[in-house]
Amino acid sequence: MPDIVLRSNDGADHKISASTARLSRTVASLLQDLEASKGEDAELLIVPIPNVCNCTLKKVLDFCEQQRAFDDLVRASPAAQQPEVTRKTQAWRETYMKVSTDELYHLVMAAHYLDVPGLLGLCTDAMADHIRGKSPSQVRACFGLKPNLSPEEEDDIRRSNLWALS
Amino acid sequence: MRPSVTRPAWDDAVITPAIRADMTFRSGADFPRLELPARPHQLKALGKPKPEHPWLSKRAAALRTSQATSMPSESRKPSATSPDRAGHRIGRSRQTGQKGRAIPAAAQLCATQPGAGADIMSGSGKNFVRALPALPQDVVGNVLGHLDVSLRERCQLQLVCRSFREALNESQNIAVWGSCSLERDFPDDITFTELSRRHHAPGAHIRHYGRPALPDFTQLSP
Repeated sequence: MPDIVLRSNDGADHKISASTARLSRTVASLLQDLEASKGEDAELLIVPIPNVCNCTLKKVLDFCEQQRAFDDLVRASPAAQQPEVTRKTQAWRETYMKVSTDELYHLVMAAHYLDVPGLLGLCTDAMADHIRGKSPSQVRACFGLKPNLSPEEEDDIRRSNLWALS
Repeated sequence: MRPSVTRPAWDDAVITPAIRADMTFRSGADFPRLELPARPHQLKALGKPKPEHPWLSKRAAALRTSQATSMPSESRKPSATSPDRAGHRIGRSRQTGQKGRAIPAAAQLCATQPGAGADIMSGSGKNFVRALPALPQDVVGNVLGHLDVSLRERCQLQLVCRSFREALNESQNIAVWGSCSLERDFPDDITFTELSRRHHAPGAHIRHYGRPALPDFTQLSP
């Protein structure tokens, strides 16, 4: 299949190869259905992504392209060089995840919507880092959550976990 | 001779008293349940009653949520062939212009409209809670799955919001973990990874401690 274009909700187009786009399971299943109905020789396909803005989509596609490059590198390199490749991947991911909480939120929503398992795992791991060591009120402040537990529910939690919350 | 409906001929021959006792035990109401990780002596000292089981209270909370919130269903599920932003009808063939079969992935792309990120899906997937930020329940579960903190911190995180509480209860880690650490008298601040490491195989403690060893059925009278 030729390259495809992913269009963000603000109208920006991103042209990528079909193999890279397939890292998103949502797009992959769409392409699979189109191939089944139209064959391999389809024209340039434009896939609108209505829930993702331009900058977030660009970031997601960065991840997909790097992921594909690393996968190719792992396949091509001999076993002795695997640890080096893994180290490089890890370093790149650490740099990639240096984002604000707001960007992280948009990224995790995009990864969830486009169903990119590797990126979703990376984002949720980063979110877990934001939560670790914080009190419930600090977690709420960090993610902009509103307390929505009823007094009865809160009381129930406190009663059930006296040893931890006393 | 044809066996009777109520008492098959093979019944006595195959189902021995030991097997019958096993069946009775498994289906009986006295099957042992996992208990909450609350320290019994603390509850006793305070004169508090036995707390409600978290799975029961979760169901009650889900019912309350469904009664408290409502959202028109048509606003979040447009048809698979509705036009996208560019005006294309995704379900139509480009060459012939005829309407083809609905494409599941296209339906998935259209299923969530822009701005739906302001909603949060509750555990059953049927209810939307408008006020909250943002994270679908499975994402919250995924985030908490990556969180390797102590049981004490995990219990505290239940107080963050309802979706956190549901995700933590769904994983059942608190109950299983609590019963495990209580039986072995592990420190309160042990992490799940460390607990699993001490038991060598993740999940081994769940089988061993979550459900007490079955009794010796050969010693039971039929």
